[in-house]
Amino acid sequence: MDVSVELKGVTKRFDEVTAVDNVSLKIRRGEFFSLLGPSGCGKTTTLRLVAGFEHPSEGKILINNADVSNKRPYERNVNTVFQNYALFPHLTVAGNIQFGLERKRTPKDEMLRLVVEALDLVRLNYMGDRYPHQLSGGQQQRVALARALILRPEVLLLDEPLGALDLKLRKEMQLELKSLQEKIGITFIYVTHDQEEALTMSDRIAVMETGRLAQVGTAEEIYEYPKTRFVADFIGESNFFSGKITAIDDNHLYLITDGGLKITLPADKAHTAGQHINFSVRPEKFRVEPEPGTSDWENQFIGEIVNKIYLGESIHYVIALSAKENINVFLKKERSGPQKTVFSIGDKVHVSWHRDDSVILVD
Amino acid sequence: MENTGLRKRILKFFNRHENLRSFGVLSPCIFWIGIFFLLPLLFMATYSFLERGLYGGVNWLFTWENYTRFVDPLYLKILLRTFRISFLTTVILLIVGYPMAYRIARADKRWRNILLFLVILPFWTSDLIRTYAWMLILRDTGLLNGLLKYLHIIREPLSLLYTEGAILLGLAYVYLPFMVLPLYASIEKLDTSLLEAAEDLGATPFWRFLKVTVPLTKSGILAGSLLVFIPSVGVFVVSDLLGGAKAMMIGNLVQLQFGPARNWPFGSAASFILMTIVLLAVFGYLKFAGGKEALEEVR
Repeated sequence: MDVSVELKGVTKRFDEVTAVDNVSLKIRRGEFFSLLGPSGCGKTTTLRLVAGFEHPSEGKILINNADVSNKRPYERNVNTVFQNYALFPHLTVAGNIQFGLERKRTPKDEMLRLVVEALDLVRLNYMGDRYPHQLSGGQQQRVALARALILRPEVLLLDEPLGALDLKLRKEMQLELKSLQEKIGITFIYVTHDQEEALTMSDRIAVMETGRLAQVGTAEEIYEYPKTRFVADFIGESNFFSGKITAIDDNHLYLITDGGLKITLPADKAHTAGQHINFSVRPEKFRVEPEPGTSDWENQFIGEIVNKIYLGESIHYVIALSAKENINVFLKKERSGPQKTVFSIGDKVHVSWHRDDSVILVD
Repeated sequence: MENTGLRKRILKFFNRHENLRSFGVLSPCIFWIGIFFLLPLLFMATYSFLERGLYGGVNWLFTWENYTRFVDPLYLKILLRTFRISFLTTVILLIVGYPMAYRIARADKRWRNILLFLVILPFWTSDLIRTYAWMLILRDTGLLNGLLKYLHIIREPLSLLYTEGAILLGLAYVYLPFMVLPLYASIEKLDTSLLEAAEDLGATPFWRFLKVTVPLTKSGILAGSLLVFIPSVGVFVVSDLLGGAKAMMIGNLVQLQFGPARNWPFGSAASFILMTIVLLAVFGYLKFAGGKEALEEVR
C-alpha cells in the first residue's frame, strides 16, 4: 500500500484534556480521507497535528514515510484550507495565491503562469486583482483552495472548508471538490461534522469519538456495518435493540429482546448463547404491509402506528412493536394516489426485516 | 416653559438646513478649538512678523527678520538635532515597544490587563518628577555611576547626564506607553489563523513577520510613531533637564525666547518653522509608509 500519511499511536494532551487519544491511521496516496465526528471529538486537533500547528505528546506522524512529528508547518510539504479561509486581507487574490511561491523564490514569469493556472483551476479567471473582502464566501473558499494547491503539497488538509457556505452552494462545492481531487490526485484529509458531506465525498472515513477512532472504513462499510452504537447513531439514523441470545447455529443467531420479541440475526462466532448484546436496524430496511404473507423475511411482527411525520420524499412512521419497543421507519412513497404504503395513526401493520439488516454492535 | 419659542425656532432652523445639523453637535468642540487653539495661533502668526519691543512685547512694525534670522548654523543645528533625537526616539521605541506590545497582546487574558496597567502606571506621576528621577540616576554622583564604581567597573564617573544619549533615554522612557498602546491595539486584533496560514504556506517566522504581521499591524505602527515623534519634536522639559545647554532642542529655544529672552516674535517664528516642517514630515511619512488608505484615514 502506498502510504501518504501515517499516524502511529498519536496522543495530544492540552494540560489536563486529552484531545487526541492513541490514534493510529494509514492514509493512502491520492485518497479522499475524511475525519468525521461531533465538535470536540479531536478531529480538528488531529488535522492540526498533521499540519504541524500542534506537536504530538506521544506517538509519531509520518508524511511520505518521513517522521515529521517535530517539524514546523513550513518544513512540511502539507498545505491547509482553513475553516475561515484565513486569506490575507492586505493582499490581492493573486497576492494570496502566490504567497507560498514568493517564499520559494519562483521566477516571475513562472509564477505568473502558475497563478493563472491556479485561478483557472478554481474557476476564478480574471479575479486576480480583487481583494478578499470584495469576494463572496464561495469565491474566497476557492482562493484558499488555489493558494494551498499551487504549492503541489503531498497532502491537502481541509478544516470544514464548506461550513460557512449556504446549503445549495455547499452541495455544489462538495461535488466540485471531489472532482477536483480526482483530477489532481493529491491526498485530501477532510475534517467535517456533517455526516452527509463525508459520505458523499470520501473514499474512506474515520469516525472519531472523544479523541479516539470509533471506526475507519468506506462510506458503505460505515453506514451498513457500524461497529458501535455511537457510529450507528452519528451516521444516519438507527433503531437500537438489546436482548439475550437464546441459540446459535451455522447461519443464524436467535435472540429474545428485552421487550420479548424473538429475532433472527446473522450468525456471529464471537458470541455465545446467554450473552446480552445490542444491535441496530436502519429505518429504511423495514417492510411495512397491511396484510401478512407477502414477506418471507425472518423477522415478522405486528405493530401499531403511533406517530407519522411527512418528510416529502418519504414518510417517517413510529411503530410500536412491543410495550417497550418503538421503531422508526422511513417508507418511500412508491406510487401516486391512495396506496398501501400510506397508513394512519392507530393502524395495525405487519412489520418485517431481513436477518442480515440487523447489525450487532460491540457496545 | 418660556424658552419653547426659541426651541421651536432652533428646531425649525435645523429642519430646514439639514447640512448644518452636524455643526449643532460640534459647536462645543468648534468653540473650544477656536478659543484655545486657532486664536492663539493667529496671535503667534501675527507676532512672528512684528519687531521685538525693547523691553519685551512687540512693536507694530512688519518685518521678515524673525524668519531670516533662523537661517543661521546655530539654529539649524538645533533644528537638526531635534529631528535626529525625535527620529531616533521613534526608532528605539518601535524596536522596544513592538515585542513588548506583541507579548502583551498574546498573553493570557488574566495577565493582559495587569501588563497593560503596568504600561500606563508611570502616568500616575508627572513626567517632570520622573525626569528628575533619571537625573538622580544619571548624574556623576548618581546611582548608576555609584553602582559601577562599587563593582569596580569604572574608576572615574562616566558623564552620562547632559548628553544626547540622556535625552534619548528620557524621551524613550516618557513616551513608551504612546508607542505600546496603539501597537497593542492593532496586534491584538491580528487574526492568529493568518499567522498559521503564512506558516502553512512555507513562511519562516522572519518572513511571516515581514510579510504578514507588519503589514497587518501597520495602522498601529503609524499611529505609535506619530504619537511619539510629534511630541518629541516639541519637547522641552526632558531635554532641559537631561540635555542642559549642551544638547538644546528647538522646544528649549522657543521656551527661551518666550521666557528669559523676551523675544516673542522670534519664538513665534521658530514655532511656525517647526510646525511647517513637522506637518510636511508627517504628510511625507504617511504617504511613503501608509499608502493611500492611511492618508485618507488622516483626512
